[in-house]
Amino acid sequence: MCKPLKILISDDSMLLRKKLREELEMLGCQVVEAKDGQEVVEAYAKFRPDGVFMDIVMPKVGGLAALKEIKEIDKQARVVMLSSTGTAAKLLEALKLGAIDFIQKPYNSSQIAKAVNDIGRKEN
Amino acid sequence: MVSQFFAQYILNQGLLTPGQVQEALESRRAAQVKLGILAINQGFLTAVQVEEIHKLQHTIDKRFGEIALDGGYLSEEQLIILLDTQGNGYLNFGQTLVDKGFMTLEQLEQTLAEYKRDNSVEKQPDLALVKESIHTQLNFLKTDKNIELYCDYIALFLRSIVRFLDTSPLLVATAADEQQQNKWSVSQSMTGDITLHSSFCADDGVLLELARRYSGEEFNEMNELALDSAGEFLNVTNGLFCINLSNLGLDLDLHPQMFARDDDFGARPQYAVAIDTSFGRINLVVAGA
Repeated sequence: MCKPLKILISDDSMLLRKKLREELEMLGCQVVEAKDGQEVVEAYAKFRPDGVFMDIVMPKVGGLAALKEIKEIDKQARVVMLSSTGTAAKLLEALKLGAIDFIQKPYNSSQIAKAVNDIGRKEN
Repeated sequence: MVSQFFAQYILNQGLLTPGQVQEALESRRAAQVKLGILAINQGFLTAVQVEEIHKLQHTIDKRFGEIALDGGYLSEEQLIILLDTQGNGYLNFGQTLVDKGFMTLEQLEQTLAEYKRDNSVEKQPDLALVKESIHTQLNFLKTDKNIELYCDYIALFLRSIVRFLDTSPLLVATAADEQQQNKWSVSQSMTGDITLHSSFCADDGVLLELARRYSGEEFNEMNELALDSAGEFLNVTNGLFCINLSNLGLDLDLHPQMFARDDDFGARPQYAVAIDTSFGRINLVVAGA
């Protein structure tokens, strides 16, 4: 049996964290939560998850700045960015900083499942 | 959506009360077969494809038929067949008004004639009708260079109410400063090539129902999750607005939402509209830099 993936989710929205946790746990993942960009960087360093789902618009440290910091901690970090503004500029910026995917809110279950699958490929 | 514009016209003309118009709209809404169901029935789309289009509607500010055409799900001919089957929106709405006894056939005949004359309904795009209505409600300062921007934003906010909250919104006349006492407000700023602050407030019961409809969660009292759900509704709406502006070459950043009780919105120049829904009134405020 495969080891469950450890996923870190970061969003200032309690609703989004709750929904995403439910989706990921249904996919068999272990979930750790962070509420802002500062928390997610600290949590990444501490827990070293297999992947991260992270909102772009967050208080204290924004998602893109947090992505940069996570990449400094771990060049191989597999981070999926979430945002309600899926503009081409934001998408490009996230990919340039090393995100593996970009999902526009409100997301659907199949997008999350696909991203988890992409994160899991690293393990195999 | 077309019945929505006719309903707004009837309200603006003072022909019926907001309550009557809302009741007729909801009744019409419940009776109208959705385009997706018609497409499945005709064998043009599968249930999976309809669900895909519904999901796309949450991230693209377009109607079902437009997305189906753009995505190659339907041909133009197929869409025309479906729209014909669905029937004329404002005529169906008119029938509901007569069935409910809100208008006689003669009154409906006269109102339809005036509606067509005033709005050139056969030629003018839907959006123009909505924006005209918003202009009428807001009494914009002629000197404000952001008039069109505010109108576009409010029109999108109305579409989001239809899309995410499954109800028919109506703009109603109200005093601009009546709103904020004893209410929670949810606000968010967008900055970049332009600046726009948007905020809405409502009575607790209305906000709870809005939160329930958006999130699918059940709430018995106002709590962090309920407020957050209302905030996500605004966030997703504003995200669509940023995408629309991005397509026009304007780049905007969203800021985290703010929540406040009895917010007076500071001294920013602002415009307020009241929006009636089947579950109560939402007061929306937009402000520039």
